[in-house]
Amino acid sequence: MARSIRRGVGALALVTGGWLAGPAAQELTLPLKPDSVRFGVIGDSGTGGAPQYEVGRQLAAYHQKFPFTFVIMLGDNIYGGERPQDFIQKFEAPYKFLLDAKVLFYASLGNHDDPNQRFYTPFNMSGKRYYTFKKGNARFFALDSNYMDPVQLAWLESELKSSGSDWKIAYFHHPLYSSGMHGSQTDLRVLLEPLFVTYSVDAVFSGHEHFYQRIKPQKGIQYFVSGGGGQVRTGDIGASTMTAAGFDADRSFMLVEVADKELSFQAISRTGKTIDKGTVPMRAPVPTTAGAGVPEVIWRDPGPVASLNLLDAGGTQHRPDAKGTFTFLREDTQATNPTFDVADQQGVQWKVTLGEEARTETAATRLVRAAGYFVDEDYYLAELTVRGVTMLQRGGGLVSASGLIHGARLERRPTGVGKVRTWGWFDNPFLGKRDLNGLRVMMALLNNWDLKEVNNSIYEIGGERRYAVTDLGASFGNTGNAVTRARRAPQEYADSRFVGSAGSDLIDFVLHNVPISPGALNVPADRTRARMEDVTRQIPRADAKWLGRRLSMLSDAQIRDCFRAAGYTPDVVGVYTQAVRKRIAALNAL
Amino acid sequence: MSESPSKPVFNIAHLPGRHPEHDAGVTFLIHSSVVGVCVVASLAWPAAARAQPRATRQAEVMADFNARVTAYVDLTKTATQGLPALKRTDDPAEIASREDGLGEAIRAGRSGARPGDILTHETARVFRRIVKADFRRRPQHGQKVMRDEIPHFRPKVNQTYPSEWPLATFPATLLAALPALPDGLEYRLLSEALILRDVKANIIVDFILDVF
Repeated sequence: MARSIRRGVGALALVTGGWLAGPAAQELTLPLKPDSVRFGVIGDSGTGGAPQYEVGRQLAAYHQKFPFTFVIMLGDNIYGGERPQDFIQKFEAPYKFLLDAKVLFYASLGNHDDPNQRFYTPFNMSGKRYYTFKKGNARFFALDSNYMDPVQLAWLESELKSSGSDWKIAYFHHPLYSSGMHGSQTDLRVLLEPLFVTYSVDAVFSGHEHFYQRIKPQKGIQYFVSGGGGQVRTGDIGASTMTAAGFDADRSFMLVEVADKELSFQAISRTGKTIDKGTVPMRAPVPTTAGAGVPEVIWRDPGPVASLNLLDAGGTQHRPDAKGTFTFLREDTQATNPTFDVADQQGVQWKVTLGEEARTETAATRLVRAAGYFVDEDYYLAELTVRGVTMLQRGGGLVSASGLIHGARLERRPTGVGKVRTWGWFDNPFLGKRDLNGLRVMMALLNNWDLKEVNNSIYEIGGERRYAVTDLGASFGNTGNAVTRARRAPQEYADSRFVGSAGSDLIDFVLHNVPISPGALNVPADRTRARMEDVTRQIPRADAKWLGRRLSMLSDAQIRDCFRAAGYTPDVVGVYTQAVRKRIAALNAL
Repeated sequence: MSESPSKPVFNIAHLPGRHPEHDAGVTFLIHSSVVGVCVVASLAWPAAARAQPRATRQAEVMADFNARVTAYVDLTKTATQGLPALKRTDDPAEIASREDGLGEAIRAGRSGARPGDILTHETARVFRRIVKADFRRRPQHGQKVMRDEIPHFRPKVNQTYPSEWPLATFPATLLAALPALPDGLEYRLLSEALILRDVKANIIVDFILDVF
């Protein structure tokens, strides 16, 4: 059957004038460096019309001068019917010269493509809607932007994270940035761009718009729209400050060369005219997790404590806009409380947590930050509107039909920060040191009883590894076992004991965690709970006093701000402020 | 079907292969467990209990939807047993013929299928609310772009999705708001409808009208 199709191609090519009568390639601006990765780019190509064949002939002509080994296809590979003859007329015949020259085509799916194209071997999709492949020092990620489901997103993140390649190049049909008829695909952008930024994707190619457009780098990433492989929408590139170059007068395609730290590109019209050219430098790689020689830090002097603004978590410019609209991204069904990710209108992603920990976490992070320790950037919003959040598996009852949510904590998802792993209270490089001991005292001061290792994270940022406590939601109640402990219980917090037994050199702070029945200690999870009590025991007096001195620099107003930021009523703010002040005084009295 | 809050709208016994007496026993056990858990839970977490009725209701609807989707997947496995599966080939005719073969077998296996078999009235009500809310919150230009790309034909259950029509891009954020589907099934939008499409067989499995 395959042979009969090839015969069909021959017949069709003769009818359409043949590929051998193609034009000679004109100017070539690419450097042709030895061992470089060379490829062509076509988008929205599969019309089967004469212009597609003419583009095919230009590609063939340029292949003589610039022997590229593969072509990436940006979707809409086969328009209209997808009968067997359509594959011939709209793909095999226009590119027969290249196919015969063993040039490989790597397709992505457009909105006009049947996903079963993935089984068509010449498209090299390996039966998958989205896939990755490597050429030289570059890894390519072909995505299905028609159907960006959470499974595909998780796959992409995993592949980007584990890619050891120097260059990361993504391509798919719908452009994240464009000034054409369809415009920028913001739905997709809020999902994909943070991954591209975090994992240092260098260049992104898309189609969908029937023209060529080079976008000025966005967040360090070079975006190209190259959807003129078969059709053109003349004059469709709208005025936009994001356009670096554009061409919407005729069909077009691209040639690309990747060598060392530079990507060179040339965009060419159907008639062989160079319509754009240039180079793109490689982006700085994501910090490695190799670890060797990377400084590790658990505490840093926050500067003049009295001037810290504790109403905000990371400066006013970071605060989420409570009146803005947030877009639902994905739900985390594994977290203790109802939790999901959203993106705001600026594309910043936030982890939203509902339930009783929203307030305690927000207040606790501020106090811990004021002491000089690393924490997540949290904000409490009394009210926010989230688009598309109506189908939560958990916490659905806390969301109105219009997406209105009352009482949520928003944790900023930082870009350019990689989580290395979790860390344990008894397994870290700071054992016996003042900085760790101060954090242990801090946990006692907060009555944070949930000291599981999974609540501690190491982040790699700015060339160092920062040890942080990333879940403080169990603070500000009383500690105890599963029955007696409570979160968000101001009076219980105020009434609970802070300093236990005080020896001459070592202090035991109170943190109850022993399970209900002593027999239950045989259960590993309960043994872990019991061990948590040791986190706040046997702490050198000098280290506890050191923390006390630092915290005593906070004014009552600053302590109040920690709780005001968490949306507590003035009465509760008062109770908590007094209780914290009392505990700080107890440290200083040791 | 009644929508009285005292009576479940969905009954898992309506699904194929379920025996009502067995389900009654299971229901009793579930009810007993739920009552027990609720008593304990309400002592420790009264605030959470207040938020439960609507969440529970949605969970019931989604559980029913998932069960129906699973039943469809099981049916297709049986119906297409022995047929050549789609596999990589350089012959597009082979892809087309296998796709057609799968479609024919599934159609035969569910020849009595009717609209609403999977996307029931109650599921449709929830899904409509989600799609409408998503659409309304888009800026006018975004709504127009979305509409412009959507094919305009009236779907039928078991119909082959016509290849001359594009498969409209499914908005990623809307997709995240709907329940996940097993591999091989997908949501798509038509002029006024949300369809459930079998990807490999290229057939419309079920649909909901008036979603915008």
